[in-house]
Amino acid sequence: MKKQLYILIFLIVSFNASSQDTRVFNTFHTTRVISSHSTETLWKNELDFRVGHRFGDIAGTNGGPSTMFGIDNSSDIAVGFEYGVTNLFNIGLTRYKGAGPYRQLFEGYAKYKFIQQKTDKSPVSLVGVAKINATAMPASLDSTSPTSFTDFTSRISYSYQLLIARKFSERFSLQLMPTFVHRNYVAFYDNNQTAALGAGFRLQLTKMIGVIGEYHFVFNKPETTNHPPVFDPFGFAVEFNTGGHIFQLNITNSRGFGEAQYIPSTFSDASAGQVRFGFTISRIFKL
Amino acid sequence: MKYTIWGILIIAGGILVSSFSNKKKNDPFKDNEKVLDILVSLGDKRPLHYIAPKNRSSEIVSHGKNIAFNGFTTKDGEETKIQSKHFVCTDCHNMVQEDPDLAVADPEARLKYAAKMNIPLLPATTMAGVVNRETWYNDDYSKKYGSLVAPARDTLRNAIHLCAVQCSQGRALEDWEMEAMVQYFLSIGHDMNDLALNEDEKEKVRLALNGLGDEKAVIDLIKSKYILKSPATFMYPQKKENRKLGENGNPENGKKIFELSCLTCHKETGVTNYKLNSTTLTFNHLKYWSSKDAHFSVYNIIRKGTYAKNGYKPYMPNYTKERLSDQQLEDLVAYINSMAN
Repeated sequence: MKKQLYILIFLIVSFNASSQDTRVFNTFHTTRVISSHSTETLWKNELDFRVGHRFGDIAGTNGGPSTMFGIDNSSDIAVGFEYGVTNLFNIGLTRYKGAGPYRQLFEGYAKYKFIQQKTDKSPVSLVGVAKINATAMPASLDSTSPTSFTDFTSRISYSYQLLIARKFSERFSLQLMPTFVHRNYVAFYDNNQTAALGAGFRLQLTKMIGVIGEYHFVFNKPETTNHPPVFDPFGFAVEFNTGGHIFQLNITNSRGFGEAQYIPSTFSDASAGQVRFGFTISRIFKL
Repeated sequence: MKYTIWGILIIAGGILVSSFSNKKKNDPFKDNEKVLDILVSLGDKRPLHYIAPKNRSSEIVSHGKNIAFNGFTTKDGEETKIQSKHFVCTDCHNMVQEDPDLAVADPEARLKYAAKMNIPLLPATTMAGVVNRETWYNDDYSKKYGSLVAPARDTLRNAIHLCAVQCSQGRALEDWEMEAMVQYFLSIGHDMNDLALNEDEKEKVRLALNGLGDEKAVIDLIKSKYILKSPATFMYPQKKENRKLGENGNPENGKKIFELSCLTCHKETGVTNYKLNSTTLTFNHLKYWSSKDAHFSVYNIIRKGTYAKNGYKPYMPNYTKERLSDQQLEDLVAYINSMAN
């Protein structure tokens, strides 16, 4: 009897010990850093309504005071819904205006958190994101154009990302993001596959305000004079967490949202003033 | 004839003996019987929500408990429809005793008791003993819910309904769910041993139950040992110039309030999007806003709460004077100040 009692006590104690929540939360405030996904996932039955906007060039030939430093123009617009199927598995559907050669884009994604950073176990969170994009734009009649789609599959592109993030302190988080993009149909001198290694950070200044940044080194840029030069995409942002909305005001050199756009198709030269303001608003609803 | 008389005598004797033996067994303290059952057996008026013990079922009680804790239960092998996607009962109500003396609603004593028992300190009253009360949605709740409180004040089922559709911003309970909730609440009603009765008073109860005392006086005696209503006094936020900003506050008490009260909802896995934790960033933020007349000021938000809005239904209930005193508010601010840079 005594032995059974000890076993029972041991089981209760060990259950309590293992049920202690050591998860590290809020590595980033939302499911995105700036352009890229973050390791944050929506919780089960949460619906995130996201609206993003990228304006025109701040300076250079298309910017300056005549366009109110790009505010009069829009490079890309994103409207999407994302949903937490479970706490670890998210899906999303987003519509992009489109900023590269491809316009009228629909993007679907699935995201899974394989590892959650914990104070007593894992030093990092590990998340995988897989996306599929389809363009609904009319096919070009110019057969040399990357938009002269001959069939539906040529309208499709994919991207895969592995996100590895660690929250070092309440104020500082860092994320690495190897990325692979495959576009089924590209211009003659362009590459179907593009690989990049990105890094992002968040520096929390106050409870409500943080500074975030992101940079992607693109490995296999097309090296030809027949193709506009591709630059490494980067961005900086100030993020405001109002307790209900997350509002992000950013400056980037990439014109488009979505990895299939900004990784292989960042043609803006920051040294020529071709960076732009943008913002993203995220609002989470509980279904 | 002779056999008939003997027969009657044997039966009468049997009844007499069995009734005596029953009365001897009926010690409400030994069996820790429900206060409500004892009151009814003493002849007190049956409340509308009363269900006789023989009609209660442990299965129905467990459904009620599941709904209270999870918002749904499993019936016939299937999960029932969630009552509210925003809140469950335990977000705002404890389901266990939370006052050391059931006859007094004292927030200071409750804080000590909650810390000792490691239970949350929540904005709404405990459901343990809610069936023993005679009115609900008392006092200033009419300021918040207007005429909706009228039918809820004297009928527990109506009060549960109001809580389901207004407080938890969910759907109305189906009839079987309502019965399950009532049966669960009856199961966590006050027990006789919860009452602070001394030995003389206990003997009076025993005698009255055996028909040897003033039953009315004993009913009053029992009812004097717990509150018949949970008082609710709404407070205006203190004016900026009157705030002591934690000057006379007790940070130790404030820490308990922060952990047992604030973090219950505002922890990372809590019901709200507005997350708090025990970091300098959080305390700096709370300290910065506490002196201001603003939404994020603890002086404002604790007394005023927030309201459900279209598109975002979760809200923060206000803390009444009986749930959090002004001194406790100062204790909380003192703790915030001590933890901020």
